[in-house]
Amino acid sequence: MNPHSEENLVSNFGDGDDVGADGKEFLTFMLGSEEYGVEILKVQEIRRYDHITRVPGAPEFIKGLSNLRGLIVPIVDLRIKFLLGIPTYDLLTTVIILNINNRLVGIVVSSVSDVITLAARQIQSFPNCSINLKPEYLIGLGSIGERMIILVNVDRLMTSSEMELMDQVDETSG
Amino acid sequence: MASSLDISQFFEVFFEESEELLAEMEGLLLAVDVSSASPEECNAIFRTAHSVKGGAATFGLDDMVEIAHIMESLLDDIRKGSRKLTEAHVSAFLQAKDLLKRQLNGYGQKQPIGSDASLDVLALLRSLSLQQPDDVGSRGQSDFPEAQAKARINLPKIERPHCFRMELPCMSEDDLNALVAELQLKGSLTFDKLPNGKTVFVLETTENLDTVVAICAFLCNPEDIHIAEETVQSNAKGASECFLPKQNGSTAGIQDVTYVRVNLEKVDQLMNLVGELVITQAMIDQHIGRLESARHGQLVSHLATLARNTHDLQESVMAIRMMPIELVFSRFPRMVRELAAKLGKKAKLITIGGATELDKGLIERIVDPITHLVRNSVDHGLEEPRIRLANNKSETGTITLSAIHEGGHIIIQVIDDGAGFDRGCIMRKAKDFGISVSEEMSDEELWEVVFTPGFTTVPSITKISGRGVGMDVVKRNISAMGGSVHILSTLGMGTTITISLPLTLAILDGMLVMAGDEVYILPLLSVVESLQPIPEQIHHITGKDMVIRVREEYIPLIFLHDLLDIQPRCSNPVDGIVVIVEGLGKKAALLIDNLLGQQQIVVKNIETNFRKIPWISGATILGDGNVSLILDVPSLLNINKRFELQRLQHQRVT
Repeated sequence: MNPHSEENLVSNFGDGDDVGADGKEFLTFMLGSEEYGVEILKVQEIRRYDHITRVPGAPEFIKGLSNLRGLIVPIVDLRIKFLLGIPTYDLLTTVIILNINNRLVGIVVSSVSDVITLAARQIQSFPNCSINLKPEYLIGLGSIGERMIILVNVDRLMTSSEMELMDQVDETSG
Repeated sequence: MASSLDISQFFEVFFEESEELLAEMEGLLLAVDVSSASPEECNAIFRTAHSVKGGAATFGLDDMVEIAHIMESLLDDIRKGSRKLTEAHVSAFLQAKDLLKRQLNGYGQKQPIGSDASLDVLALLRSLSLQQPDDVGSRGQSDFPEAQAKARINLPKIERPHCFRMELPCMSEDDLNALVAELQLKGSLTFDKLPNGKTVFVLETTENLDTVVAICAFLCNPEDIHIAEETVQSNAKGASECFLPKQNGSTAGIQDVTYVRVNLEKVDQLMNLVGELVITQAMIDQHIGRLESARHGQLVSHLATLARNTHDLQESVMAIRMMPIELVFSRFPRMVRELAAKLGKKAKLITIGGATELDKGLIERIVDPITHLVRNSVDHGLEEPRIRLANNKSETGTITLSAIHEGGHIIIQVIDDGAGFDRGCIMRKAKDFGISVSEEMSDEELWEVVFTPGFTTVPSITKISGRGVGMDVVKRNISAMGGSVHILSTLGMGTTITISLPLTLAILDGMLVMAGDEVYILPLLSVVESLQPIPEQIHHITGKDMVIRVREEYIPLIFLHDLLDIQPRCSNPVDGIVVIVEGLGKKAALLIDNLLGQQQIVVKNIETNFRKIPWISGATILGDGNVSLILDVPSLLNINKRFELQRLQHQRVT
């Protein structure tokens, strides 16, 4: 629709999404000392870190299940998943509830920063240099002045088998 | 009717009604015995065709009207006795019904199917209607009055005088006089005694039939009254005799029940609200426990009333969603008939307990698994007629579908009297398939392998089944509904597949148990008892495993802490509490730290936002707003077997 010359750089920008000239809004938050961002349209609400019921047998980064006004929502701590040191839970600890294809999941973050708008030219494709984070789970790296924001493609991350949030359907047999 | 009326709003009602009518038509067609079809049955079929035609005509669906019209005309001849019902008619009508259904669905999805599709059926129906109607003269005539006598027609509601001819059973002189006096108040009466002691009344009255019957019913059994109505003006030719519906009346009986059509969404919303109410109730209950009963006695008693009302309300709302499983069963007679014909087998289907009720949500989801099982039974289970004869069985195989309530569960069985599972064959196939099996396995354990994805014992794939998809899907679907599947089979005798399902997924009575610092819920229905074990009751098996002896029974002891990875408060069973749970004839003893009490809980689906959790069937929200997990008792009961299998597999690897 409105091809930018920079678009080639944007390797993983949403599936079929168009950043457009005005760019896209992201909610940014801190995981430990790193700043991350998710598309604001994926965010349903922000809540305080509340009582969470542990899920037996789940990996450590799945904190458990929480009651969101009668809905049962899993809560994951990406700081554990991304190996960002030992997580602390204090007054600033917040849960961002994401709505991904009508499934809800909460992510624990150290604190919520702000909402920023990034144009396509401000987003660079991800240099394949991280062991803990596969490039397909990222939209790219956003930059505002000196800040670098790691833009997570939550659609792909949260539906991936390694997050263990969904029953992986194996329909290949038969 | 105002011309501005938007008729499209009735479309949905029309679709639903037509669907029901078509389903009814199919049921009637399948039930009818062509050699001795009663006019009553023909009438019922005629009415369905007539109603579909009427509905379709209202919406200008001409192709449907055309089909229904020809059917109607044919059926009209048949019910009047001027044409004889044949097998050809039935199968043509079934095809026509299918076509109508396709056409209906087409309109429903706003993609009408073309007129080409109806050509075959139209031609078939036309050819049937061109056939000369039977000669009514000889044999037809003799059948006619008797047939008419059986007919039950819709009672006319007209105001003009009726003339009823009633034949009453023997009764005492006093009763007779009382009746005569009573009837004479209603109109002009003549009566006569028959030689066999019966009495014949002829009553001309403006009252309708129901009133007259009601009067007679004071003095004699309505079932024994034969009433014929003769229109006053015309002669006996127009007479049509009515039978009163018997209490245990035939399926076509018209029940005097009124219905309201409600959008399912509204019911679901009601369910959700009641669910929230139950949770709120639980919250209040937690608080009143802390109140001083002396000071707040009144409040406590009012709240108890509220709790009872909440419970009643919830049960009533649940009942709205309950539907008879007949809705599922009714589709099988045809399927079995056609499948058997295709396979050159003879099969009859018996259904038992069709009135058993089940939550609507489950009804929809149980269709596919049962279809699979019935299909399997016809295809793999039943043998060909000559093999059956050679094995001293009747030529026709029987498939039985049954449903009963048992506790909070519905037990559905698909039973065939076919070949049964062949142990050797399954063992061989399992080995070919790479599943570890051993001779020591019991039949029951061995049959479990048929639930393995891709597993099949059939050498060649048939059109109907045998691709190996099926049983695993059946099992998966039923587990997803919180149920279980169980196979019993004897070679040469047949196979019984038992499905056990909870009646509803929405609300259950739960027992809150504490393990470590965590609260889990056990469905109360599966709890047999709880006890504090004494050391003498605990016995070790191979060092680590334990059983507990409760009265004369040894029950395997399961440490909930180990299973759910919880920091235990007590490591010795005698420090904790043991809850005995039961299901499908098996028992297990769960070791927990504490019992917290009983509570009604609203079951929430975990998989809406998350995945399945082992040993857990669902979740709920407790009075304090926290999430609590519901233990999946059937999977806990199968735990030992699984451990054994794991251990076996482990041994093989090492």
